[in-house]
Amino acid sequence: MSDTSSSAGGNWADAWMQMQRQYWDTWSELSKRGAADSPTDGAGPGAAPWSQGLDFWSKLMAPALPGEARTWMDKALEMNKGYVQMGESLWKALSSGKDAGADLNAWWEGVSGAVKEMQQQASSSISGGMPDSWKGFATLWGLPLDHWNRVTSACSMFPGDMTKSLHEFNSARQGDGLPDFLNGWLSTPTLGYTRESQEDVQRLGQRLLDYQKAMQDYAGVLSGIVARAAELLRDKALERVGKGESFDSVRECYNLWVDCGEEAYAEVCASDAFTRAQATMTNALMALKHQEQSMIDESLSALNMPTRRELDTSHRRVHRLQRRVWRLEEALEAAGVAALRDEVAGLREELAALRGTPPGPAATGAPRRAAKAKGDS
Amino acid sequence: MLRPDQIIQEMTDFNRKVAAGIGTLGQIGEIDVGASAKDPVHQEDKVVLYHFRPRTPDPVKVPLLIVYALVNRPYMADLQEDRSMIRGLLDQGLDVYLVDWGYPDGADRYLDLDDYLNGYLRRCVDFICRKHQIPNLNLLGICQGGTFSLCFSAMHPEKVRNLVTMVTPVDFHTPDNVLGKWVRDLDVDLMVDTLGNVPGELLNWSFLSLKPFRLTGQKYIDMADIFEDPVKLKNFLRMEKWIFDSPDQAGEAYRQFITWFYKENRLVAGGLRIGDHAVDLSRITMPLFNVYATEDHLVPPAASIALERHVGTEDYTTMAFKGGHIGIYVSGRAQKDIPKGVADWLKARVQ
Repeated sequence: MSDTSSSAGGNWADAWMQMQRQYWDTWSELSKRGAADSPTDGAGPGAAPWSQGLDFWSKLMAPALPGEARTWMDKALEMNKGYVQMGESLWKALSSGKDAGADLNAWWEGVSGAVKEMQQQASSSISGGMPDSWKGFATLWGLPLDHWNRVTSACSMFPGDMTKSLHEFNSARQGDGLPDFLNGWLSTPTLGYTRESQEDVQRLGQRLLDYQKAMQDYAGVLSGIVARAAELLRDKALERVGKGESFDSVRECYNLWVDCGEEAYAEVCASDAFTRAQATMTNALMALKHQEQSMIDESLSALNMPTRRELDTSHRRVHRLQRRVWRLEEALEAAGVAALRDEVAGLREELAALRGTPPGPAATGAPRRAAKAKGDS
Repeated sequence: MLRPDQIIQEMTDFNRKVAAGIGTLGQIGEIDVGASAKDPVHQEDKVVLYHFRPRTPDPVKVPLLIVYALVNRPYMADLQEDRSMIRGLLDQGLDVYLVDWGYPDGADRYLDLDDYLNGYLRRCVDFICRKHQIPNLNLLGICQGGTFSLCFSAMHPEKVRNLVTMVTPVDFHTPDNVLGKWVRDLDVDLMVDTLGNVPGELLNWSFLSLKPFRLTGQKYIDMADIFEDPVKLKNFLRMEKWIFDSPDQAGEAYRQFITWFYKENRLVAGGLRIGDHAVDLSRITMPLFNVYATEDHLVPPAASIALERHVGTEDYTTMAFKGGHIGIYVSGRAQKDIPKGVADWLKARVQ
């Protein structure tokens, strides 16, 4: 591999495909040996070989792609990994069962084992509460919160890793009353010359704890979706088996899994509990950010630097001025048009007086020209 | 019945497609959008009015102005040659203009709905009317742009000859409006006071969270099926570019839209005022063509259909398109049905 590492992208791809072929050959061979020899204990080329292959791709090839394409590739690879992990789960479950490929009941035993494993993954993630703990295939269910973390990471001066660590720290210390202690400390009356600064720091700490709690509550609502989706998947798969049908591909199973996820999500996402949890989380983040801004402004002000408050004032004034300009321009234009109308009316009257006929009504040019032409004839 | 060796084969094929896809992505080049030739004819701050070059020798005399949403970019209506509602309208002989709201930045945070509708939009309308020496024009509003067009037509009915609304939310409190429920407990004042402009990414998160597993998961698995076809892959990437090309929202306009429309539902409940104008839908007496999508997950059909009960016009036509919020612009059926449907309806009323 080291020889090809300096080669063009095409050679990398060839080398990778060669390696993949060997990889699949090894696994195909293992698969054929049957249940007794199957590496369900994690032996073999790797405990999660296929998804590791995608990791390899991600690290090796994606950096060589241009910006936009790399972003899409990263997204695709992340999702592909979840899909491939499903393939792994099914493969492990089906290769460990006897005659799984010959008898529908035996096949269902294998598949239901895989579903059970997914359910267990989902259940273990509930206690964790945070998306990063939704490892493996259950990653798919952490999407809304994971996406939220990415979107909002720029909204707070605290990096996502810090809030995650704080959450884990809090969870670990639930038993010994640390959160109560923190809450107590954050509400201690402040004293002396720096009391306002102390209050600011306490307020910031409280906002951070509030946000952590709101995220935890939101994750809790989402975790119910995981369990429900797994239940739906099991029911729908069982229904198929009852009809004498099965899955013919991993994709078919995956698509059903996605349908179940959307169905479970739809049951919850319009509920009062979900909308309240989501709004509370958003509001808590905004309150945290608001407090951060206020403290940053104080620091900037102390350094005699421009603050956000000052910028807002300037923008507001510019906007008000712009509106006045627009109105003045329109008033001027309207006045100009009115003056022209008066002038035209005056001229019309003069013309009528010269002709000795009463002035006609204001009209567009075309009918007047038509009238004139008619008169001429 | 799925067997272990089939799984291996399927995963092998999948990996091969991903491998091929990385190669294709590296060579695919820039993702171009916007298929039809157009010229900027009027500009004010970040707002640009475009005039599309007619594609027929004698276009309809009364031009059509398209008003898009502040959310996302208007090139969705002109994505590529074979997926362009605007191209379809031009081919039907219409003379088409488009308002592009641009990308607001921090200096635009105090722009509100009065500035957008009674300011920028009205001046665009006046510009076109002056240029064509006509008292009024045809207006076509898309999604939030449709809501804006309704407000504009109610405030300035003399400037709109015919009105077309597409996938337009009117009643924001229908039971199936999930977005409406989500903002109910949202402290939008705190959000705008804190963020100033509201980041487009945050809105995108809301939209994608409506169907997270399909929109942020499954579609990337399906993408593997087109990895080896550069044309299909490029089509996919154009859509992807559009979905994530989300301008920030001017803070005050966002605050008003969420509060007045989503939270208080004033467009149908009454009491809506924008600037110095009351917005009363019963003042919409010009002919009105309302197009909605039956599978729309962003603007539920019921939210659009409600329009008929609130407007004052006696010339009201509805068109139900079997598809989703995006499919109404880019699907193959939409290319056949939508431009022709809109053009036929308009031509019958301007000639």
